[in-house]
Amino acid sequence: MRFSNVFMLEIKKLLPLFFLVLVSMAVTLGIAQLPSSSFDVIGAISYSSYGVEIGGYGFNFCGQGVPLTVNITIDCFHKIIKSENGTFLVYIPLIFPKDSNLTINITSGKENYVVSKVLTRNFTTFVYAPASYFSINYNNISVIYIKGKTVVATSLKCIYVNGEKMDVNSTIFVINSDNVKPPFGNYTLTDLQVIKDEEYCIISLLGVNMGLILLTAYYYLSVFPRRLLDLIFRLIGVGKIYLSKTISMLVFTLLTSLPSLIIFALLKGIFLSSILPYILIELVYSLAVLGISPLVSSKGLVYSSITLAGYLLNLVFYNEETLSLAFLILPLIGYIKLRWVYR
Amino acid sequence: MNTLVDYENIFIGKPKGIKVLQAIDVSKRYQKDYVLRNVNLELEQGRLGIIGLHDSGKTVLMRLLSGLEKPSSGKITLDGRKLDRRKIAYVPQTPLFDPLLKAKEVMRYVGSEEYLDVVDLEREKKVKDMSLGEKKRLALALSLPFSPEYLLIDDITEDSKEFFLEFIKNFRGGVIISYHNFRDVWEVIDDVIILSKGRVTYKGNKEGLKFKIIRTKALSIPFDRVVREGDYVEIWEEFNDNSVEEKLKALGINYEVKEASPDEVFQRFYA
Repeated sequence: MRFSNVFMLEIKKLLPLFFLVLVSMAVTLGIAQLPSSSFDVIGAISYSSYGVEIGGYGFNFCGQGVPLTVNITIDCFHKIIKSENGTFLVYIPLIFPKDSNLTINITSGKENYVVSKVLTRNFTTFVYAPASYFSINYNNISVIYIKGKTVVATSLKCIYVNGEKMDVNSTIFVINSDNVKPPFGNYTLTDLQVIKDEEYCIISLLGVNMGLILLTAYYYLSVFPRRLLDLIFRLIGVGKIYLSKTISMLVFTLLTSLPSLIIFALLKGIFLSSILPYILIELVYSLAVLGISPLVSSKGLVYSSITLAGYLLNLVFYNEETLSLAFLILPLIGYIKLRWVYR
Repeated sequence: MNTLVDYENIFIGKPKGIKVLQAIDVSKRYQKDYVLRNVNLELEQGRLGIIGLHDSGKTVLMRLLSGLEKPSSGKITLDGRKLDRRKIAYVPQTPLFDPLLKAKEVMRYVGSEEYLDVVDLEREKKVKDMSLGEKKRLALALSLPFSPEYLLIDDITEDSKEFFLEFIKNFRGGVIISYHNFRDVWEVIDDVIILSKGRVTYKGNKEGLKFKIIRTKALSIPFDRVVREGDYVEIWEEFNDNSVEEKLKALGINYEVKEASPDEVFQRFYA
């Protein structure tokens, strides 16, 4: 008996379940549509002896403007502005505003950001960037790096875009590149903030994929307790079939999780290298369920797999994905159990 | 006929060297309930019938002999050594296979689908479309590539009875067949073990189950195996033994004699 024969038979048994790959991708697209609650704001404040000018732009991680309510208080002067497209520009006539206390309260949805400044410089910028790869904030320049774009507020005359010098003509502007650098400093983008912002979506996505793996396991791995392979184990032993089932489950898990996680990462601007821990979690889950299957009944497999999914999703929540490797003991235990039964 | 099938190792001649399949003081229990107690059997090249009613422990004994289960106490050996399961072709009472697979695909697990011809099974037929008898034949085909020296058949279904009885007659090695009566398997067995509630109640040659019934008016003379039927008594006597008839003749008592079927004997005294 050749291993390839057994492996092809195991894959054939899984074929009717490959539609779950499409289900996984459809669910991913649905989850990716959920709007993020976070928004970014960049702005500039300048003043002269006759008044204060405040401009800004509120946007999401994709660079689309979000509706804003801006409440400005400077000394005894109050002004409320509403913006539908995220941009705002206010001029407040105030004689000699130097050393005045300025408070800008920016609200979008349920999220709120407050800028408090004492006007000491003629030009200053502010930034609030919870949904971004990275942000820079100096007095004369603020930069927010988002998915495929960079939003800049500056009084500088030039910046570097993709390594080339570019003259600046306006105070606040958007550039279609996330490789934008001021004339000073060196910055590395990270998606940690994006992942944190999408944490619940990622956990939901992993949960759905684990559910699909569990469904597959119930159909495909319950043959151990259902004894459909008794006669074959009796004659050819456990090793080749267990190995081929292991590989089949890994192939199926990769086909289920890889496209969905890649799609999610591309849509949400998460770096592809950052999804590796999540793929690891799903592979570990798949192997752990395989290991549990010879130990419990079909119903027990469902209960224990749900519990296991809970543990693994918690590890994702606490960013301790590598601890999931401990669960790799389960496939070994399952194999030993089968060897013991059919010894 | 396909040349890839090793017919010689299934039907022709005897296996090299005489091997003995033995169950030594075998008991089996699930939780606290014993389903088999202290069973001993030994088989070389003959054909043994394990006969018993429902729940007598036949299937459990067959599973133990096939190596699918381990005894709670005692041991099963082949030639005094650990059981080599490949040398025992086992046809379970209800074979289980993946219902979506075809017969030829199931055979791929053991590498040679040609053996389906030996059991007269269509290669393209799916397990879900097979009758119980066909599944049993598939189970048999699975074992054949390993040149089995023993054949264990747990129950024969009506649709495959003819096939299996013919196969048993031609099989080169030892055969154990478990069944619930003698009528259907009498021709193919030499020795018998009768199981009742997990215990062996008869063990020996099948000729030992040939009895005759001597029917006469009620008697006060004590005989073994006497059954009262109204005004009459039936005295069961081994077929080759004439001692009861001689005694009755000596006493001048009239009697009738008829042959008892093995199944009547089994149900009357051993079931």
